[in-house]
Amino acid sequence: MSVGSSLERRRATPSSSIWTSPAAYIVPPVVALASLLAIWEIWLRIANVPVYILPMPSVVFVRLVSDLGFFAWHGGITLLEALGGFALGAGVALIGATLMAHSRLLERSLLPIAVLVKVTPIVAIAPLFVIWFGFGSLPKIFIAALITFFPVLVNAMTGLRAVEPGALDYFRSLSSSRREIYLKLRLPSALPYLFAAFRISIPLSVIGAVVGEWFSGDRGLGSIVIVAHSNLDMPTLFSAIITLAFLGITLTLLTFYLERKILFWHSSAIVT
Amino acid sequence: MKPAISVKSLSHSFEVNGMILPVLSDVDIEIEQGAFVSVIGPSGCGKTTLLKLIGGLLVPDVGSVTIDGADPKDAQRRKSIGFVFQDSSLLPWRTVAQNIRLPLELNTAAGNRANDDVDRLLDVMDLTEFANYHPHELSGGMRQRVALARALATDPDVLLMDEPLGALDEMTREAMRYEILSVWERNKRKTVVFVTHGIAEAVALSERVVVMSSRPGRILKDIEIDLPHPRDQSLEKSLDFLDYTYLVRDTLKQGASASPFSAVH
Repeated sequence: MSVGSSLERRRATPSSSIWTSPAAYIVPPVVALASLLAIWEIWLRIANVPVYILPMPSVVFVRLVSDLGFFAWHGGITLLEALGGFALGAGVALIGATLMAHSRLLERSLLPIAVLVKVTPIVAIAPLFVIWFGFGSLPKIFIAALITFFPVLVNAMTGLRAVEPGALDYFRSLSSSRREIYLKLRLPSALPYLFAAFRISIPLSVIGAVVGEWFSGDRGLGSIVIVAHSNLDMPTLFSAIITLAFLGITLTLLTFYLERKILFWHSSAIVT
Repeated sequence: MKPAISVKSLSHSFEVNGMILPVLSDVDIEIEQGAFVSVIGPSGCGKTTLLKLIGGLLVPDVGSVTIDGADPKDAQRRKSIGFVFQDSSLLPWRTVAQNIRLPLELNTAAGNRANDDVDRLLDVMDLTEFANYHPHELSGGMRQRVALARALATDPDVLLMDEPLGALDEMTREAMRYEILSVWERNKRKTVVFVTHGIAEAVALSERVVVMSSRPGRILKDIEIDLPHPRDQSLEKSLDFLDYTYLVRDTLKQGASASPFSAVH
């Protein structure tokens, strides 16, 4: 008698309610945003507020669109610095977490130092990095790496240890080596924790890159912000901010999408 | 005949919150090759600990455990032990087929069987159509089937099962009970130690039922089940079967402490 094959696998049927269609997610916020912009525009025209205090959306829009290549190019610089720093910080953090997860001595010696670094505000460290690493992209990458490092380290350490005890027992019952256990059990088990850290670290690394550009920069959106600020060039300032917001949204959506694809097996992704 | 599994004067304790908690007290068991032995006892009596000691996952405080006359860790190195746990412990990021293949990928120094054995195991456990499913898409009963297939993948000499049907509903439990038995009957060389909470299950499946007392666990009685093979559900109607279940139940009651928390069912 076979029980298993009589258990069917039902295909999930999509709900036909209007509230779950894709439009239902996009339309309301777009309408709200458009209304806000309309109110902003109308109020400014009526109140005749000078452009160097608060520009009208139409003015900002013209500035952004007429010079799209400019903002895109600088946005690209900031993006590369942020992602480069993220990759560096995450990579070092993963190596560090692996070493610390396997050695209590290393953990006790190095973790407090990592905490010390973490609690020092990045805006205080940024100018230091500029002095050390010059005016190019390197200090920005290092700042982004530093911001990324601690969340990924802590989450990776937790994740590498958070293996299911039954699964660990199973590996041990076959006399698995530590390397096999690490690659086939610990690392995959740590992925949900890593992604949780990435969700925090990716936007933070953008901030890190921008802050770095404040202190030294002729390139990137951070430097555009600084220059526009000193010139009271509000349309440019707002355009840079909008570009940064767009960067942030895109990265967040990308991370979300990747997480769903890679963590399909995790309880966070399974909707029952 | 040399026993496959030999447990001598085994005692074991755990340290919990700075206190020593004895879980096993002077246990002696000899299991011959190819036997199907159940271990039954109240919660906390150390049955799982006993299984882990036999399988080499724990090292005994006092006494000895041997498999084929040697340290269980030798059997581990030969991949000669197949464990099945209560919660299947499958890797959720691997498909059914990949999970079954896992033991073949580990510790390859021990030598391996060819990959097509995975297909045979899938077929034996009626899982072929589910080969590319992931554990979260399967029911509890199917996951345990995968866990059993996985345990069989290295063709172990010893199968150690810790309440494998414990998390399943009654009907699935009863159906899978006899599936496990038929798998064992087809592979008569395998020695099985089957830990369970269920009295009927223990009597139906095994040739011997070892009844343990509550913590610290010691052997109350080692009951020989003299019922014919091959067995199926109709066995459970016979009077002999009923007598054996009463014997087990009475033995368990004797060993239960006065505490209301040592419930036996």
